[in-house]
Amino acid sequence: MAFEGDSNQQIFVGQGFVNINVLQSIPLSAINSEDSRFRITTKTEILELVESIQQLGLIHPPILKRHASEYVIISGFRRIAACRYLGWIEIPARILSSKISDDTCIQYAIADNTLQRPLNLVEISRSLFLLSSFFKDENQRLECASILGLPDNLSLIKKIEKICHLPKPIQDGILKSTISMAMGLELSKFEPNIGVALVKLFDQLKIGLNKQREIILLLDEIALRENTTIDSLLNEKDIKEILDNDELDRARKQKIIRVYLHRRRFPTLFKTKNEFEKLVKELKLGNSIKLMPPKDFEGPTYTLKVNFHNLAELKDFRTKLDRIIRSSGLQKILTKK
Amino acid sequence: MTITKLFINQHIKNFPETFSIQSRLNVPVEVVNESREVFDYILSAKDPIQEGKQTLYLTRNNGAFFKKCPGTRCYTCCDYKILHIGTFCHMDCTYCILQSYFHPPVLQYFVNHADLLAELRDVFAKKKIYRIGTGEFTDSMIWELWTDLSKLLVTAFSEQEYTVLELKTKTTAIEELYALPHNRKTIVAWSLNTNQMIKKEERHTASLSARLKAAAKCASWGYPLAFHFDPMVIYEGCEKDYKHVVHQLFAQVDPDKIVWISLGTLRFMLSLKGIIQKRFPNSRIIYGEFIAGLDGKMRYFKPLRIDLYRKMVAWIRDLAPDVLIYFCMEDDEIWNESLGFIPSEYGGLPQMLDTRAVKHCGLNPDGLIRK
Repeated sequence: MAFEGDSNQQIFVGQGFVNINVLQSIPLSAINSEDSRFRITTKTEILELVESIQQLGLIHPPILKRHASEYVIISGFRRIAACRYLGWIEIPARILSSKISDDTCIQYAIADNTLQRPLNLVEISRSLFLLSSFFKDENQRLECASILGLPDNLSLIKKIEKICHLPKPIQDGILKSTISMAMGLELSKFEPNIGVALVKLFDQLKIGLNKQREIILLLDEIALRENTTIDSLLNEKDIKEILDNDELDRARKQKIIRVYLHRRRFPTLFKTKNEFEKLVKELKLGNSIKLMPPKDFEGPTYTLKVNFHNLAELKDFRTKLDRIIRSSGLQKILTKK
Repeated sequence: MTITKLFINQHIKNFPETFSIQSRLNVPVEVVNESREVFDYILSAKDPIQEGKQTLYLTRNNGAFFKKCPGTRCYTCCDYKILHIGTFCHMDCTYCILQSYFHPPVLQYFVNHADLLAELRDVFAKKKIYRIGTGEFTDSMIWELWTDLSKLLVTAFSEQEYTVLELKTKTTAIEELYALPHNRKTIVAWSLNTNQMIKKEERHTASLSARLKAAAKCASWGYPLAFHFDPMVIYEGCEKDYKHVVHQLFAQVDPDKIVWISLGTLRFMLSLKGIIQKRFPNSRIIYGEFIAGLDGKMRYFKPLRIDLYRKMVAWIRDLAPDVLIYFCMEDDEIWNESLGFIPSEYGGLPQMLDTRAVKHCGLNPDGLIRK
């Protein structure tokens, strides 16, 4: 019914089965590849597909819809591109009647893609977004999503459907697992160029979600404190030098960047910590004794940690402790003067 | 900010205070059976905090009117007492803790004044020195627009000699105080900040000069005064600005009229940070060098606090050497480093403030012994 010509094949779409026609041969020149309204796939590379078509032929023909004098692609964007690459003049395709509504076309596009392979997150996002433009009723949309093999949890859908609106590099970051979906959504709160710059940074440093969040928080707050932008910060000489230093491995760069950002966000705290460490060093405590300040120097309690193996070491510690107590260095540390 | 809706709990709809307030407000009125209905109305708004500032709920206080101030053990507390007359505020300070303290925040005014006065009589009967304030869960003076609260309280406190009332405000709503027989048992107090902070972060409050002018008027009517530099905010140029505030204060107000001055730097619960970011995206005050304090609140890194306190103390002492300066919720190290002593050397902070109240407000010193 929906396809032109015979009706001896059926696929299930929306409310029921729609008949599928036998194949028609369509000139590639009549297919509009620019119209990507119904595009689900994120993949653009075609060489593998070209090789497969060359060896086995076009096993699964694309679905097209007649639109005035040309054809709009419902599914099979890459297959058509591969056939063009191979220099084909015509291509076998299933043709939907021009009377078929766009929402049914979208369901064909999603169904055709999901039947062939599992969709990635961006593709699921596109599918859900495309569905949302036609189903104003949430329950109908959920039902349709469920039938098409898409997530049918409303709060999850609301999150996922935002992904396809993110800048392409952020979508790619999600697909490459450089960032999680949660991080992708967090980045959507920033200007697109900032989100893209951050994904690039995370890709370069290969860091986990918690540290990504820490870096974003530090950069954001430094930018707000210093009345600048995250973008400008990332382009500053100090940060660029760390990132571009070929002698540092990723883990080292990551650590240096985090320390740098902490120091810049909390300059007085860092200065005080450095001074404390310098004074502790002057006490010459050795490896088995550790003097720790109150957390962030707020409370009154210092901690002295002693490692020993036997009584002789403990006695030795007592002598050392007497020396430390008498030293002006400890006095300086405790009185902060 | 103006009130746009008045809710009245049906249990108090026939109270004289209710009629009086209703007659002064020309807004839609809705009588409700229970508070939940008001809270649901507030929570259904796009910005419940904003809605809470425009919605007045008249009800009864079913709990205690006389409460302990919620201080923590980790820092030196002044043992202040709260007179719980209502909640929230129609002014809109960025840092206001009340935004995250009440769920939801709503302008709530308790009209069961007979219960309030009965509780106060019990407090007075103890014949102990208490410092009681109405400005912890709300601003003390915003209610002057629609109620006769100051008349009620100032008169009640004037008739006893052991307890002092502190009315803490950022308004200039003092006109009603003029004719009241206060007997020096009411301290009128202002929260002070720099012009920049008032303009940027204390929306709908009175300007610094207006606050000081109002303070001078109250002093001329014989009221003891207090000032609270709290929260002080560290920003570029803040020292010059705070010094200027100190100079403006003493240019307008005789130091002898001041019972105490408190100092406190900005501190906030982490839950407030998100609210500030959402409601005031242009504010920068939460991006200072804050660390988690011993009470869990975010505070400026201690050396920064000490540095500003020391300077403030020096500027105040330079112009008013005899005024009592104290810190709100700080530890001995801060006291020692900034003021040169710790409260325990003088019997503790509550004792220091009580003694000061006895001296300035004419309280009966016997009340000190009973504590």
